[in-house]
Amino acid sequence: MQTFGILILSGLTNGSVYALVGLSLAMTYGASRVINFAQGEFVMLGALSTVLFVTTFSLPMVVGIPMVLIVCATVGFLVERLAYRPLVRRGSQPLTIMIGTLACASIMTGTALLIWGPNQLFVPNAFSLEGVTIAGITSTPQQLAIIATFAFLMALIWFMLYRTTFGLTIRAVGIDPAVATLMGIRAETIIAFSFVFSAIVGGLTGGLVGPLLGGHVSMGIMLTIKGFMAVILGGMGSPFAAAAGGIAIGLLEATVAFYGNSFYAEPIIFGLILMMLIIRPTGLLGEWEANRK
Amino acid sequence: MSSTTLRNWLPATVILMIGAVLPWLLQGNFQLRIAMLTWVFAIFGMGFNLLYGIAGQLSLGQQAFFAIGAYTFALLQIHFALSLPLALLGGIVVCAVVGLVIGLPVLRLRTHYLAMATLMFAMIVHDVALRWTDFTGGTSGLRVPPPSLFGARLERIDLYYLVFGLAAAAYCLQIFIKSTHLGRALEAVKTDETAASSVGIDVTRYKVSIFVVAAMFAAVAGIAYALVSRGVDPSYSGIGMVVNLLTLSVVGGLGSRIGPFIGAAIVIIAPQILAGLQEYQTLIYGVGLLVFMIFLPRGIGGSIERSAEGSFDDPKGEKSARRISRAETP
Amino acid sequence: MTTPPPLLSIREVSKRFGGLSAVDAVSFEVHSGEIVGVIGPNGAGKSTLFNLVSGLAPLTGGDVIFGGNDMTLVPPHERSAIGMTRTFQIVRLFGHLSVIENVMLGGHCRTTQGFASSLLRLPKVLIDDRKLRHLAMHWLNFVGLSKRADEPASHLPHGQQRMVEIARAMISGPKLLLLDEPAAGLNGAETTNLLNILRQLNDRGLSILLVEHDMKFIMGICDRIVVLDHGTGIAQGTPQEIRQNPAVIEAYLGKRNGDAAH
Repeated sequence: MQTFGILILSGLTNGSVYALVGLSLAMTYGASRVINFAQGEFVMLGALSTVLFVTTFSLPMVVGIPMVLIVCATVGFLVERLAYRPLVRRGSQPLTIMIGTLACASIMTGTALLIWGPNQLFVPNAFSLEGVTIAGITSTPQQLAIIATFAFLMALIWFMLYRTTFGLTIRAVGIDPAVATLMGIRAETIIAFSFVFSAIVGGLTGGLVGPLLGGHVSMGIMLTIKGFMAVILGGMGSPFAAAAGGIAIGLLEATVAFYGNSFYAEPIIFGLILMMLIIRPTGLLGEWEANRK
Repeated sequence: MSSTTLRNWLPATVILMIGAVLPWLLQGNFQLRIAMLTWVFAIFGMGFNLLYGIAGQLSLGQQAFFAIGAYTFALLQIHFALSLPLALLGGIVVCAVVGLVIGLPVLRLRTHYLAMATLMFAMIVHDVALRWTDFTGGTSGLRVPPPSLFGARLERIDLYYLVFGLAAAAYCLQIFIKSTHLGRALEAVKTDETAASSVGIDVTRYKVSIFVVAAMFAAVAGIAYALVSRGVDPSYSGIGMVVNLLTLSVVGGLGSRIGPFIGAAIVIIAPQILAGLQEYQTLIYGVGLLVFMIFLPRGIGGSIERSAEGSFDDPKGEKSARRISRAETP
Repeated sequence: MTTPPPLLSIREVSKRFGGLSAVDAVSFEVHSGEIVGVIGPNGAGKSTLFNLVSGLAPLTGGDVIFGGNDMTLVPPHERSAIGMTRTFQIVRLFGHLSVIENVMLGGHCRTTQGFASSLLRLPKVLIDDRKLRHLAMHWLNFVGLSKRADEPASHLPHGQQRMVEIARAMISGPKLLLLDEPAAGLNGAETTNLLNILRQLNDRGLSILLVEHDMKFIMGICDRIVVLDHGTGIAQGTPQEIRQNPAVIEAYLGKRNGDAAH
């Protein structure tokens, strides 16, 4: 029972991270119909700029984390303004734009490499990493904070998408940007918002998960792929389906690592998700998207 | 001589001449190595160009075939003491088979899904290369025996001509595919799968075939890279490799005949010439990729071909009109 | 006297989407050398029927027999080789290929060879290619577009693109040509030109099955007409018979007249 609890907890922690990346990917995709390959890089940027502000500049956490979010929001804005928008305006196809976001990922990694170097860095923790034992299960406040943040963000996004007029416009742009524009919605602004919002979510994730994973310049691409796997499991249709997929992948990973060979956990999960993608490309909860051209 | 023939074989002649005389113009092993790497990446780029530039199927997993080819080549020589030509053939065949087995299910997917599925396949290959230490040598990889052909040890210069010969052969194959019914059918598949099938094109078969061909190109490139580097390691299947591939393809020009050569030359040579730029490589590739996509989406090769085409067969100045209508091919 | 078996027979063909019947047990035949038209009000199931006959959508019931072959399991890309080829309601050319390349693609089934076999028989491939280009030129000449052979197909006006599509269909040497609203979007002169071309093809023995909205067009060219309403066949006969058929007038022509009269 105790091992089971630990399994669930560690699965939930990693799963929350994948869920947050997946949710951001689905949100950007929902508005812009493009997979943002740079999404995982915002987690990297969040983790490493926490190192910069809190460790290097010795700012207190309460000042440091907002600074991190500002940095991520700015970079997210730049990705939209300097890559996504110019490509859309010259009529590029979605795949071309996706390669453009991959270029952005490369630029972010390359820049981070110049600032932080190739070594893994210790990311300062906002919450204690001391073990706390509740009902026989040992956890850390940092771990719990990740799960709590995830739950909070889910609630926030749900409220924003389904209980505000602004959320309605976001969903409208996702369904048909041309029609939304005709109705007076500024599609470009909405898409810019989705990029910036996703960047902030990424940065927050990075700041929280950094102390557990360690900050590394090349951590981003793997997170993008895990996030996409979450999207595959849940389906592109909604951010919440993607988030559910992320939690599922976290739990699956923890299980495979525990009962099988942890060394091969990653390729096994990749293989499983790849099969899943081939058998049911629209996700377990998803809409018929993949067969549309 | 028709303009099409001229368009195909004029660049071929130029490339052949450059390739043949290059060793006399270069000094030292380092420069020769750079020249060889250019041919290697041109082969890699040509395969991708056929798959994405012509057939419209985006794979982000070509680096897996690059690595599988190279590892097979090394393993066949190490464990079975196969000669170089047989190991080369073995690497190509293994990649073709893997390409078929992966391609059949994966090519039912389209666009983003296809791209991510192939990327995941490459991540699995990368993980295996890293982790199956007994077989792949783990992080340090495998060493490739010194190349010899029919009992004679190959010198650097012989190796150069071998690699160059492979690139020339790959170019001919590319031209053959592009300018026959195969190329037309692939273009049709890219444009409209339903219409393609109703004019009699077996869409699935064509997609899988070109995927296998691209896998074989990647295998040849990987093997040539292993020969030049005297070894193979997990970076072959790394994410950096696919960024190199995309950058060279976009800079050279997707769908362009000469694009892969120009792209490879720029992507390989640029970081070497600008001293101390290695550290900036990831950043520069990213910026280059983005800038070309926005400002010169046809790439250098495509732009050259476009203006050359105008002077070949477009005397009435219709090329400007054509430029507009063709502006968006992925 | 025995009549030869029909070229195409549609037997009790049905298509359901979920609980909805788009085409319900439709039967008719096309004989060699005939031009048969399918008409019906909007949403009568004409386009669905067309997709069923050309194999783009799977049947949920019935049979399509063509030249004695059961077509149910024949994939769309194998149909042009058997002698059945189609055009689309909205012209679907491969825009950035040239006009002649588009037409050559229609002959793909004649030269079709896989990658490996093409490589092994290089000279034959090149000779075939030349023959195919020659044949494509012949058909472009026939539709009057040989001068524009080397232009990108997307540069042609709509009416000419329709002609390219017909040339692309004809190069495969079909016995039956399926035309989905061929006159849609054509102006008067272009429609007349299309009529002439179709008549010439018919004189050479080609059978045609077409769906059309333009009543004058369809009455002017068809030997027989099949009328669909709500997915079922309500009448068939010569144009003359159809004009006078009370069920047709009721379902289709009459409704409008009736509305106007009140």
